[in-house]
Amino acid sequence: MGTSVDEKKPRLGLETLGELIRLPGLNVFLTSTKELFSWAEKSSLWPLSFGLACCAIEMMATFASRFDLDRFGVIARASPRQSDLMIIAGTVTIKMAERIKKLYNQMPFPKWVIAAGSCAISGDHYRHIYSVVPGVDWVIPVDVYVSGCPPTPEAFMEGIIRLQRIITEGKTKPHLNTAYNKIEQETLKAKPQKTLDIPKTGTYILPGEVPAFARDLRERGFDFLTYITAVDYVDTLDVAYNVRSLENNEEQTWKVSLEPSNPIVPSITSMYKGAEWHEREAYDLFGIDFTGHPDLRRILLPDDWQGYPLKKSYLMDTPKPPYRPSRKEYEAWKKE
Amino acid sequence: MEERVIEREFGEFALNMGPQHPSTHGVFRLELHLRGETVVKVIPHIGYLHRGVEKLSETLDYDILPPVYERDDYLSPTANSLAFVLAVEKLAGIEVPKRASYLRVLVAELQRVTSHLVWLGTFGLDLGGALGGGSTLFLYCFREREKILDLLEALTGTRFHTNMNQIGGVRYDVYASFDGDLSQTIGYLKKRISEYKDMLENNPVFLKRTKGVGVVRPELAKEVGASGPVLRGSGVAYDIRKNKPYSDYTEFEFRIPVGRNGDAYDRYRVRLEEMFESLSIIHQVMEGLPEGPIHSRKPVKIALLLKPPKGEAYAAVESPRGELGVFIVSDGSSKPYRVKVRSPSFSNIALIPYILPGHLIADAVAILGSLDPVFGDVDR
Repeated sequence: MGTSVDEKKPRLGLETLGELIRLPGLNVFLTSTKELFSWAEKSSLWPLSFGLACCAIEMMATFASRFDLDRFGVIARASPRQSDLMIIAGTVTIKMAERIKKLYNQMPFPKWVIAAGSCAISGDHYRHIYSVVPGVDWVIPVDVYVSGCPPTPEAFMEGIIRLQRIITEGKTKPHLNTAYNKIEQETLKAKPQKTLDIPKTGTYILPGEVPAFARDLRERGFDFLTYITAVDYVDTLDVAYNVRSLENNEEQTWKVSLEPSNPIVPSITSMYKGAEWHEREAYDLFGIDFTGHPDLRRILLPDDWQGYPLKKSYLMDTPKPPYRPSRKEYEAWKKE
Repeated sequence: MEERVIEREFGEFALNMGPQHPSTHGVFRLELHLRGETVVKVIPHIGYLHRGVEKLSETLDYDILPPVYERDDYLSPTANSLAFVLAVEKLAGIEVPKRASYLRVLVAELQRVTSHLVWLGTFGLDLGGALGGGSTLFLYCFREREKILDLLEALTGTRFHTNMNQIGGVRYDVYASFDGDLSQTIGYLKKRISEYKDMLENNPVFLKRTKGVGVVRPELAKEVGASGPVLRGSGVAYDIRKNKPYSDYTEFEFRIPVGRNGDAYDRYRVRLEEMFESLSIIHQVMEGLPEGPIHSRKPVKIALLLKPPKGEAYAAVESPRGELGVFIVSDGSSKPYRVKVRSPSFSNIALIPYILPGHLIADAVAILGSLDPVFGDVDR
């Protein structure tokens, strides 16, 4: 195993079982069966193959040729029913937290959880973002934390060895945060922003002219839709469009200024099929209503989300119970 | 919401695939409506990895942001930070030394090879038993990828989030024996990738699973805004490196591989050829690496307060997945007022509702794999 073994602690490797076999009447001792079972459990950890973000790539590398987790008895399974270990490798979002909880509940006992990487541990630099759960221990209990951004394969292996030691010692103390209820309603509004004198350059047209303008460009060979996005200038809400003509290597950007209280603009999905997702994103994050869009609903955030996050009036660290604590609760937990 | 996951209505069978599924390449959910084994309608659901970098950017200084962007598209991290620093440099009018530009190209092209290797390996997993037990190709590709990661680790200290690009230059210079290490690796990779090419293109099962599967017409690809190998697989020779050159790409000679039919096989061919082209660019970078400084501003350990003038800028790079653009609006302060990331994967997987219907359910995995989405990039 390569790890130093303390004499007082239960031993890790095969020799534990060897001693047991040599003892007569082995099975009657409760402690011994416990040791036997934990030896079996630690030697064939089957994780759920389940990656979230960057850490999952390093997890895959750990499973692959050079590092080869198979020699630890670790073989990834695609079904939670066949797994006893869940490696949370990546950032946990509120939309995903429900699924993670469901998957965790589908796993049979005994089961363990490794939180790999700083996002799964604490949310890392995304911890104060509206859609992110600051650490998976706000969702499911965690046994082992593996640090790194992303953790190297060596760190993953160290995490597995640490979990094996926990299993042998039988001292599982999973960590789960449960303090979330109070939301200070008054903190939910960001401070009103001053109107900034950013020069609004580019071709501005009226909202009503958008379909005709887009159709004209489409007929002139601008058939590649690059992006549709919006900018919240507080006094106006601007939508920017960019289309290209790949044959002539030309591009055209145009903008529309909308009233922030009632942002309505005609959709261009009939000219550009790609506009469907881009317009849904602008609706999701800015609340812009594209009239004539065939299926205007949220795309990135859950369907029941309140508010439009990229507006300047939306507070970045808006809490969302039960998985996302308020900033105060998070700070209190950090002090603990 | 979950209640209608498996239902029967009008003889159609709705099947839920993901967000936890080994072949969705991340957290992605497909609602497949089937008639028998044929897909008749598909509704993709994204947003399971929405981390709000665009909102986060509004609260952080410019110099802190490149490493944050590297977490977006985690298979080619430098492409993200490169797009961001190019946009800021455009906005603030910062010149970049030639050596820094060359080193940016070096790391970007190395990561293009690693990204395509991960793609090839996981595509092998998707196609399953056809390729020698499924995981053969995966294990091979990850073995070759480690060679490049070793180089990057020696160069920058990390395996793939290199933190190489900074506003005004790059953070690390090449070390003395780098040239030798690199040419050895390039030789090794060329040999190995040619082997995989022969292995796959003479495999009748591989050909049957990819040829004629998931055909994307060029008109559809353009209208949806698909870019990168997906667009080029459909026969449109559009590459940001050629059409809107950045970072001294004009000084290197390389081909743009183009497909003919727009099927999964053509997308595979484009990516495979691109790996050889990237290796050739890397060779040219090391041949012609100019002397000089690697940073036009002082290399920063702590954040300097960069305050670009008011205005807006858009810069795009060719990431392994396509056009990755960053649109910045500055209000003259040390933090961006608004950042929009135009991600290639977002537009590429918007193709799914148009190309999946009519195919068998087994092909759904092959088609999704051939589009090569990265969900950090889709959801941002």
